Amino acid sequence: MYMTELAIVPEVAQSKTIKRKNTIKKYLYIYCMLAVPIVHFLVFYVYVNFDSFMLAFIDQHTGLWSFDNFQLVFNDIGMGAASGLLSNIKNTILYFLQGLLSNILSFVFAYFIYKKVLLHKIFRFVFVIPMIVSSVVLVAIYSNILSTGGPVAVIYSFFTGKDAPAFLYDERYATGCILFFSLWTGLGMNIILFSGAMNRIPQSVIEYAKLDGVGEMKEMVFIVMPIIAPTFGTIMLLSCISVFGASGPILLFTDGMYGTSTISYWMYANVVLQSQYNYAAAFGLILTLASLPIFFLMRFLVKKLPDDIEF
Amino acid sequence: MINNQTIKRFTKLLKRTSVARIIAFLFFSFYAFTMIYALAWAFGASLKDPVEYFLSKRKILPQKWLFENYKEAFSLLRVGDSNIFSMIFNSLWLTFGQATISMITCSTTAFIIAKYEFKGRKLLYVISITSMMIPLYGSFASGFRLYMNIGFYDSPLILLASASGVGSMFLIMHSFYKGVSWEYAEAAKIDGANEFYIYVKIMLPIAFPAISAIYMVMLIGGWNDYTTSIYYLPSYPTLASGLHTYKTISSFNMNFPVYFAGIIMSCIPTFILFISFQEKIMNSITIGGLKG
Repeated sequence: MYMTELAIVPEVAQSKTIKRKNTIKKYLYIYCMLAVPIVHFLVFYVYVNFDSFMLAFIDQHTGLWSFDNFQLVFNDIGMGAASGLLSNIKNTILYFLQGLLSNILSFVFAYFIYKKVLLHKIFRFVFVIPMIVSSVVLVAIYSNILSTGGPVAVIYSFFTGKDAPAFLYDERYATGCILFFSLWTGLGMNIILFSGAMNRIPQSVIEYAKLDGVGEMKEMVFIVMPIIAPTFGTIMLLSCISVFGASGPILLFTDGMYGTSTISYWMYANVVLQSQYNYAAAFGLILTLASLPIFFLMRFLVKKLPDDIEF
Repeated sequence: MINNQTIKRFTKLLKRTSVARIIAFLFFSFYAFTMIYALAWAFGASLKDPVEYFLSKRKILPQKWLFENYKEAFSLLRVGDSNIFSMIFNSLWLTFGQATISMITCSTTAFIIAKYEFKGRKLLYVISITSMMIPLYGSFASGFRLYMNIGFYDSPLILLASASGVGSMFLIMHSFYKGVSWEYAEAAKIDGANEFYIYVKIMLPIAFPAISAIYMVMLIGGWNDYTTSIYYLPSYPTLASGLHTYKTISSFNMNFPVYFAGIIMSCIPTFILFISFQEKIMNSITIGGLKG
């Protein structure tokens, strides 16, 4: 008995060493494979955000610690109607609302693609066009269609008897036109996305409803929508988190002129064109702080949503 | 000749047709019309004479079909030292470079986190999700400054910025690898395969259909992206950013038909890619399982 135990001891030790070696090998392999994303995260996320925080508290001209950048932001906002930043925030919220409206509309219309409305295959193809074609192309076409002498101007003159205004060069219409463009080009793609989610609903569920005499509209409201609700809700809540990031292709349309600038465009203009890093970082920090309560509220609400329904 | 079957089909169609369906159909038809009209208008504009373009913008078809405009686009469309060929070259390396680097890192990160138990695994997963969700608006300024300081700005090194390994691609690949059976790997291990061999020779081929569909969507997105070039690569205009810059710098003496010829040509690669792999791409453009 004693002899047998003695014989086992070196074997156990050996197997432990092999196990340890294997574990070290495994960890070495895992962290080698993850090395690039980890380094990337440390440099481009941790460092960048830390640096951004520091930048906000440093005066760009003197290089000294100060609250001047925040002061500048609040001074601008304090100008009320004349404030450029407030105008950016107002436009950003308009784009955010447009995004929500686009989600709701496409959710409703997606049902009819899912139900294979006449010519649905052709429609599906056409709806993907804004994804295949660059925004540069769509903006170029849209702005020329809207320009003086273009088809829209001709229709406008026909109905009103007046010359059409320069829609994209007039503060009264420019933002509205870009909002409409964003809604129009985003709608088709969203319809495809939502109808894709609806396609995951098993046909048997729909067949049972049909057998119970459920009509098309009832099927949409009481069967399809509740099943898709978690996905739809998650998308809506995620949109709410990045409320201050909402924007349209301002750079392509107007370069921020004619009262069209949004926060995203303002950031681009201040950072890339004017090198106002510290001022931009301070405004960004204020926006992040303002959106944190929204983030936590939305996270709470996402958790409250039912999990995706398993079929 | 209308036979009985056609009448039956038509009656069935009428029975299935509700008011809501008619409204949806009309809406879709109008939407499709505007999209096709816009592209047809651009194609028509690309074939016009510059004077005719200004005088009859509302008309789609040109009086004379000037296909020479397409030839002229190759010599006229210039931004700084870049002609259309260098723009196409820039579009190619940026599109393929970004998509490939992003795909490799996302797939590798997703595979390791989905398939291996190790300390820090959950933390890495939470970080990858949270970093996507928390909106940090000020980081653009410091990120831009960092790119300038480390030589990424106006350099092909910018491609390395795509190696984050996180993002929606990570989520899709993570859920894909989670669903792949580990039995294949066990069998390979018995035959003496190491971990890297398992990933490259067994898991990647299994994931290839999913990866290739996502990769094509990324290629289309990359080809159409104008921001990377405008923000970070001013000396390397791509076709998308170059066309915009051309319009901006030559607004008063611009040859619009030639410009639209460039616009139409820039759409051809993505249209070909989409039409060739339509089903694959459409299947990958679905949402669901976002919450989990």
